[in-house]
Amino acid sequence: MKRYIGIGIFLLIISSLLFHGAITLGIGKTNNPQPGFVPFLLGLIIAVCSLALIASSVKNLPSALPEKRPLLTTRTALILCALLLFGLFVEKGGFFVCTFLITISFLKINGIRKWSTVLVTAILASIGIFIIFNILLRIRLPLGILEP
Amino acid sequence: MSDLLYGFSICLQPANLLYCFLGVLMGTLVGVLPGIGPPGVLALLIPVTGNLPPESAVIMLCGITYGAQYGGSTTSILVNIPGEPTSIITCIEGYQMARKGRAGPALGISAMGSYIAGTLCIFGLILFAPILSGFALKFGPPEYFSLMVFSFSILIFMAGGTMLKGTIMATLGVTLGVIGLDPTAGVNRFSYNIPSLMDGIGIVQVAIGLYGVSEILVSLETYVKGEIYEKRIKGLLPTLQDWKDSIFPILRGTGIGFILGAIPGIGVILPPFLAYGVEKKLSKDPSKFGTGVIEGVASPEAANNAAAAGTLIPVLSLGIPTGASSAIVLGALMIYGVRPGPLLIVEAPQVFWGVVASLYVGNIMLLILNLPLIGVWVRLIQTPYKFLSAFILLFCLIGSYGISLSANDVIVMTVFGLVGYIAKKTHFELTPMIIGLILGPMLENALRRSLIISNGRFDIFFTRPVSLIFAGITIIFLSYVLLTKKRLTGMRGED
Repeated sequence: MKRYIGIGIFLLIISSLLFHGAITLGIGKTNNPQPGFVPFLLGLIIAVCSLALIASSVKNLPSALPEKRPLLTTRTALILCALLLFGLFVEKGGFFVCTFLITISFLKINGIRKWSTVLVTAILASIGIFIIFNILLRIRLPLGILEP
Repeated sequence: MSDLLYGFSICLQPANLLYCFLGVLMGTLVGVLPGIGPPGVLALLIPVTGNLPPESAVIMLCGITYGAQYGGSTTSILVNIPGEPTSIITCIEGYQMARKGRAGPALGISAMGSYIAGTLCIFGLILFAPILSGFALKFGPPEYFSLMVFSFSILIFMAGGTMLKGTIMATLGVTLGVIGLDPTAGVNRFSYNIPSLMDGIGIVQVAIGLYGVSEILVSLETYVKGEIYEKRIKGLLPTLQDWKDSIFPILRGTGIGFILGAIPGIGVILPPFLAYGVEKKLSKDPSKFGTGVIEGVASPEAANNAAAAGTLIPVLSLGIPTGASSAIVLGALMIYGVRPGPLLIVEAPQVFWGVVASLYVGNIMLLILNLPLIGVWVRLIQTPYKFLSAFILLFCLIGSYGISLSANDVIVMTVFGLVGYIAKKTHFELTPMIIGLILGPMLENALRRSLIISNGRFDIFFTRPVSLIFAGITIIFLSYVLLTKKRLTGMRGED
């Protein structure tokens, strides 16, 4: 239940951003709706729904069972961080180097222990992607640090 | 008929045959993988279709759709893991058939039932799509707005979870659609001077995140290794008795699936369940259902494929998706520069009739291609999930990056992977969000234009007959839900 209260508060923040943006853009009138008109309505709907969500959660809080597992597990957080780092470094480091590293990360996060298996899989994956994209499909993925 | 022949002439061109074949192959290959359903498969493979001419891209996309559905059925029958809600019924009966040593006929009737359904649905499409398109040509902004609101209300109710959560997700989806350039005034909205947001949020990146990344993240926590059927699969051709038992269920499932699939908001989830329920009701011995009866596979599989064909009617004729898969197909059509709607048949007949013909061609390819490759799919399923999930995530990365070779797309995919993950764990449905993202700009445009036409009066939605019908049905439906308090909030007991 506490999760829903948290989600409700997050949605209230979204609705306030929508209200602020709508007023800045200009709401206009119903016979001449401006760019902020629909965002204002959306903010209103989200605000009402988030208050309903919070109210319903608070009402049911005493009878709710305690949450057994965390919302975000360590494995999920690590995978998402790996994906984010890939996005941040792919253009500098190069697609294939980053693919190699992220494949190692995924396999290790998933619990593959043998380094030989991990490294061979990562190398094969990177080479396979290079062959498919750069050679067969002729899509030039960035080479990054491998650029001659 | 001449239009259908024109469609076949498009579809049977060697290049388009190849694309259809590749679509069916890739769709089945990815669809077989546990933990990823047809929407995820479509989202992952859309970037592959990016450089093709529109009619070829759409034909390949249709092939991917049919392949993904069949792939999901294969996993259900052989591993007893439903990748999608639509595969649950196939799990119940199909896996029981496999345990009895009848995996071959289960897989065979699944493919053949889908082929029969796809073939029959061509006639439905030929008949109804042009009629609906002609009717929709008379639609103005108020009619479109009311229709979209009607679709959303049904979708939110049908999508699962509670209506409050569905409304939140739909509204968030529409909000995402608002980000970027306002088409009327030309001002940037909610982009906060971030260049990648100025063009709006990409549908494919969001879909890959929501349906690809998040599904894998959740699957890694909840994956239960199914009992893989490991005996040699034989007898893929159903026997005469199997045909006698299956033919009428297939026909009934086709009718149920096609009609329900064409209703905006119903989509493909309900038809297999309803078809199964009908067969059980009509059976002389309902108690045998659940023990592995072939009609329990034939009818839902036919309904599944027919519903997918039925969803093409509102997608192609009105530009309104009925579920997650059709929403992603609609998004893809827009990326290809094809404008789905009443003018599609006139402006791009090669696309429309090519899609209709691909229903037949794609399903033939499924029969020819997939049944002999069953052994390959079994070996693929037997790959440890630790490796499979890593490769699927890699595939998601390549798919999102390959759209426009931009790292920002990977970041968007990751963010929505997190959003989808949290949504699944807190029982928020994703379908309303993706449909909101796609329909949001159209909804806003229709609302603003309606208000300008009516000089600011909202009664325009109730004074025009067609708009009044849609608005009236929506109000009656929502009143019923409010009065009976069906699944409004339902917070208690959900955690």
